[in-house]
Amino acid sequence: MKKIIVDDKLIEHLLSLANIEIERDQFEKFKVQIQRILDYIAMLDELNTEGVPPMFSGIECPSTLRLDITQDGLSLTSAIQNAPAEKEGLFEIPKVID
Amino acid sequence: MEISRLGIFEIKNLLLKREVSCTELVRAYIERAKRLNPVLNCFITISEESALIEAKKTDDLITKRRDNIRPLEGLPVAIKDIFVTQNIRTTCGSKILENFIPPFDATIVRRLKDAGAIIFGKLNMDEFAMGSSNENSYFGPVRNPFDLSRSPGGSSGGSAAAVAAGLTPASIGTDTGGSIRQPAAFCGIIGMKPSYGRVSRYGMIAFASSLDQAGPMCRSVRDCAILLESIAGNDPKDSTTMSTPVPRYTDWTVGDPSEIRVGILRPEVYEGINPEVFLAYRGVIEFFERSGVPVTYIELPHIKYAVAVYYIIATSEASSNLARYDGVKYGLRAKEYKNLKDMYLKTRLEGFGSEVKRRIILGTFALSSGYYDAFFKKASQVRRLIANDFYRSFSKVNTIIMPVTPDVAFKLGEKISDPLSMYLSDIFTIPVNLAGLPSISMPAGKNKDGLPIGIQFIGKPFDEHVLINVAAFYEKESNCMDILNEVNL
Amino acid sequence: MNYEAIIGLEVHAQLKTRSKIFCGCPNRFGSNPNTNVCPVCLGMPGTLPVLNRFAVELAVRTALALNCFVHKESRFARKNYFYPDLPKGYQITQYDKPLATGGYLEIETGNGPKKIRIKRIHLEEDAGKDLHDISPEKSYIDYNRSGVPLVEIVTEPDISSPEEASKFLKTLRNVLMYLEVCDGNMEEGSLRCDANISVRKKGSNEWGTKTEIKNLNSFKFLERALTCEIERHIGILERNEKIEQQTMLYDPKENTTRPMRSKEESHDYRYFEEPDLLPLILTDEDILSFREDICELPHQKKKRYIEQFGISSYEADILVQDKQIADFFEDCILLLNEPKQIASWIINDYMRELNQRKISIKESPVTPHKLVAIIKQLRDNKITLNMAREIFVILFEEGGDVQEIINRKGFEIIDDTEEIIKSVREIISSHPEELAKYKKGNQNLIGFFMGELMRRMKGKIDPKKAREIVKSELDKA
Repeated sequence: MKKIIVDDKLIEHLLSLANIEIERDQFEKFKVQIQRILDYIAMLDELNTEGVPPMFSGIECPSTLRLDITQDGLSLTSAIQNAPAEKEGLFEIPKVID
Repeated sequence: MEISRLGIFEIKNLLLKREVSCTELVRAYIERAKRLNPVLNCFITISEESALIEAKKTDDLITKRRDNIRPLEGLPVAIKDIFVTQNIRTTCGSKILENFIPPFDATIVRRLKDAGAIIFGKLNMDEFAMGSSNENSYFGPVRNPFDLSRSPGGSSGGSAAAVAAGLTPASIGTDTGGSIRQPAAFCGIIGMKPSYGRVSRYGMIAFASSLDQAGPMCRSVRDCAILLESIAGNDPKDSTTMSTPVPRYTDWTVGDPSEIRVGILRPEVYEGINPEVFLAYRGVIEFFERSGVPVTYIELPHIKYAVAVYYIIATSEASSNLARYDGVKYGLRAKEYKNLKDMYLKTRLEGFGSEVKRRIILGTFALSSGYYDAFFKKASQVRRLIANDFYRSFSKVNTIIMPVTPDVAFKLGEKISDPLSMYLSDIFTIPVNLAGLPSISMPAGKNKDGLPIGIQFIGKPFDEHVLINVAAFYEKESNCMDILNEVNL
Repeated sequence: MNYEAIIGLEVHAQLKTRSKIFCGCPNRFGSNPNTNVCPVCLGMPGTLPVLNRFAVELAVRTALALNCFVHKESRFARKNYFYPDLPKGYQITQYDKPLATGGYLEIETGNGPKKIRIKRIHLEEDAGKDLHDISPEKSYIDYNRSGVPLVEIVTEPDISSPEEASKFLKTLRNVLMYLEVCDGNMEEGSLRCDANISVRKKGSNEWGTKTEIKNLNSFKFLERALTCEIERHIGILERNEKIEQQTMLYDPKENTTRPMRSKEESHDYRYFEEPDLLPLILTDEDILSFREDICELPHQKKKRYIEQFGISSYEADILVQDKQIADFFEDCILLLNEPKQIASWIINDYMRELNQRKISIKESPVTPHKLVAIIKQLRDNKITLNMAREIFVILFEEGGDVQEIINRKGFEIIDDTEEIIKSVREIISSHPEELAKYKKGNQNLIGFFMGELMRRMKGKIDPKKAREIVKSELDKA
C-alpha cells in the first residue's frame, strides 16, 4: 500500500461521510495527528497476510438463533421519552427531501 | 463508620451480623462519594433516592428472614457509566448523552440487582470509553488517589479510583483495549477482563463491539470471583455470549500453585519500558519460580503489530457504533441548524469530544471505499496471527504473565496532546482483547514515588477460573493488596 | 436506430414472521406509531441484535424455491449511511457472504418460457418510515417497521422489457405467496421493487450506463417507470449526450422519472462484518428440513393440472395464479371428480362473483361442498344450467343449502319425454305460420319454438333434450 497522504480533501471527505464537523482551528492539528497515526499503522505492510483468514470477532463459533416469539417492547411513553422533538407519538425532525 | 477499606466480603459479614443496616451503609457510601467527589471526580451521577429505597428493602428482608439471602445482598455498588440503567441517567462520559434516561437495564445491571446489589452511582470514564487517562470525559478528568496530580488511567478511570479510594467496595468496568486492567494497575486494585463472550454486552454502550468486554474491578481476588460469578454467562439478548457453563469462581480462590504453568516473553521485548515496571515484573516471575511453578519462554511474534491492528479495528467499529447519535431519537440535538444534514453535523460537533471525533474519522477512513482491504481486512488478518500466537503458547502454559503498562500512572495533561503516544501505552493490554482472552490485572508493588505497578495474568478463552487460582495464590503469598492501605482519603 | 433495454430487479419482500428479525417486537402492519418498538429496534445505546430463526427458515425456503445454492456459512454486514428512518446509522444486511446465490425463476413471455437468473438472495432488516405529508416544515418518523425481516432478491440483468419485468414480479410474488414467505401486499409495502436499467444499440456488446429507479411498488408503476426511463435513455443517446449514473424516482402523477435528491451523496456504505452477529451456519439437516416445507409451486401445479386433470393450459394458468383458488379447486376435485366442470365454474362464475364483491375465496360463503353440490345436480340432470347459476348467486347473497334452495324454488327438471312431446305438438299446432316458415327453411324458428316450450314448461327441462325433441317434431310435422 502506498503512503496515504492526509490532505484537506481527504479529511473533508471523511468528515462529510461521518457527518462530523470539527472546529476550524482544530483542522490542521487533526490532519497532522491522523497522518501520524496512519504512518504508524503502515507497519502492517511489512507482513504478508495472503491467505490468512480475517478474524472479525473475539470469539469464533456459529451464531445462536432466537425463536420467533413476540415479547413486550416499550410503551409509547418510554419509546419517545428521550426524543429531542416529538409530536403525537412520532419523532420530529427537519423536513426530509425525497 | 469507617468504610473506606471495605470489600464485598467484609460488607456481607457486617450486614449479615447486623452490625450495620444496609440503609446506614448506603448512606455512608453516598456521603463519602459526595464529600470526595470534588477531589477525585469519580462520580458522574449519584442515585441517592433509588439506592435508599432499595436499601430499605434489603433491611426489611434481612430482619424478616435470613434464608434466601442472595450473594450480593445489600451490597452498595457504583458502576462505570457505560452501562445503561433504567431511569438512571447514563452518559457514557459524553455530552451527547448528558440527559439520556434509558428505559431499560443492561444485562449486567439486571444481574447485579438480581444478586441483591444496590447501584448507587455511575462512574466517570473517557467519553465512549475512548482513552487511557480519563481526560477525555465530558465531565472532566478523574484524579488518581495515590497522587492527585496523576491520571487514574482509563477508560474506566472513575471505577478504578473509586474502588482504590473506597468510594465503592467494588465496581464493574469495561475493557476494549485495556480499559479495566490499565486503570486497575494505575490505582493498585484488581481488574479482570473476562474472555470475549463470557459477560453479556447487552446494555453496555458499544465502543468496539468485537473487543468490548465488561468485568469486575475490586479490592480482592475473592471479590473478583464473586462479582464475575454474578454477571457472567449466556444472555439470550447477546448472541455473542457463550453457553459454556459458568464455573463457581469462588471455589477457585484457594490458590493452588500445583496447577500453574507460567509462560513469559523474552526480556528483549520489554526494552524501553520503565525500569521500575520491568523490575516489578521480574519480581513476580521470580516469585513464581521460587514457589516451584514452572516458568517457560513463549513467543508472541506478532504482538508488536497489535496497536496498529487495534486502532484500525476499534475505530472502524466505533465509527459505525456511534452513527446512531444523530439527534433524532435520544440524546443531544443542536439548538440551531439549517436542515437535516446540518442538524447531524451540529449535533455531532457539539456532542462529541475531539478524541471521539478523531477515532470516528480514522475508522471512517479504514472502511471507506478503496481502503477496506488494505486497512480493515488487513488488520483483521493480522489479528488472526496475533490470536494464533497466543493459542500456540497455551499448548505449553496455562497463564502468560506480562506487565499491564510500560509505565506507571502519568501526570494529567502529560500525553493528552499526543494521541499516538497515548495509544502506544496500551501495547501490553491490546493483544489480549484482539485474541478475546481473559486477563486479570493485579498490583505488583510500587515505584519509588509509591505509585502502583500492575501485572497481568493472561489465560485461554474461558479459563477465568484458572486466572482466579493464579491470582489468589499470588495475592495470598505476596500481600500485594496491602498497597491499598497507602490510600488515605 | 433500434435499441434494447437491459433490466435487473431488486425485490424486497417482508417475511411473514411473528416477531422482527433481531428483536421480539411484533412484525405487524397498521399499529399506532412507535408502539411496536423496543430498545433494540429503536437503536438505543448498548442494544444488540439476535437473529430470528424463522426469518432464516423463510429466506432459505425462498432461496430453494428459486433454485439457488444455499451457503452453509453466510455473514451479516453493516451498511453505513445516515438517514433518519435508520435508527442505528447502519442497516444490518448481508454483503459479501449472502445466504444464497445463483438461482433462476422461469416466466412465461410472448415468445415462450424464459429463465430469469437470480444473482443472490439475502436477509436484512427493514427501516422505519418517514412521514412527509403531515407538515410542510417537518418530517416525522415511525419506527414500527424498523427491524421487520426482509429478503432481498436480486436478479441478473436478464429482463429485456417493461412487460417482462412486470411478469417477473407477478410470477415472483405468486411464488412468495405460495411459499407463505410474504403476504405479497404491495399497497402495504410488503413487496417492493427497485429496477436497474441500461439501454444500448441493438447488437452492441457494450453495456450502457445504468440508472436505478427506486420504490416501484405496483406492477403498473414498474412497467410505466421502466417505459419512461427507456425513452429517457434513448432520447439522451439520440442527442449523443451522456447518461448519468444516478438514482431515479418515478412520479406517477406526471408519468416521468426524475433524479432523487437526497441520495446524491457518494454511495460509500463502508460495509464491514457485523461484529454483533456471529456467522450464520446451516447444516445439511437444516437445509433438508427447510426443503421439506416447500409446497408445490405454481408452475409445478400448472403442469400437473394439465396432465392429471386434462384442463387447458389457459385454465390451469388462471387457477394457479392464486394459491387459495388452486387449493379450492383441489378441494372440490376431492369431493367430485369432475375437474373440467369445476375449473370452468371457478374460472367463469366463481371468480366473477369474487371480483364483483371484492372478496377473496376464503371469505366467500360458497364452500367447495356447496359448489360441488350444484355441479352434481347439474351433472345428474336434476337442474338446468340456468337454475344452477341462480342457486349459485343465491348462495353468495343469502347463503343456505343447495337442496333447500332447489326445494324452495321448486327447481326440477321434467324428464318425462312423453309429456315434452305432447307439449311440443300442441305448440306446433297452435303456430301454423311459424311452422310454415320453418318448413321453408328458416332454421331460426327452432329458437321460437324452444322459447315457447321453455315458457310452457317453466324452464324445468334440459335444453339439450328439449332442442332434440323440438327439432324432430318440427321435421315430422
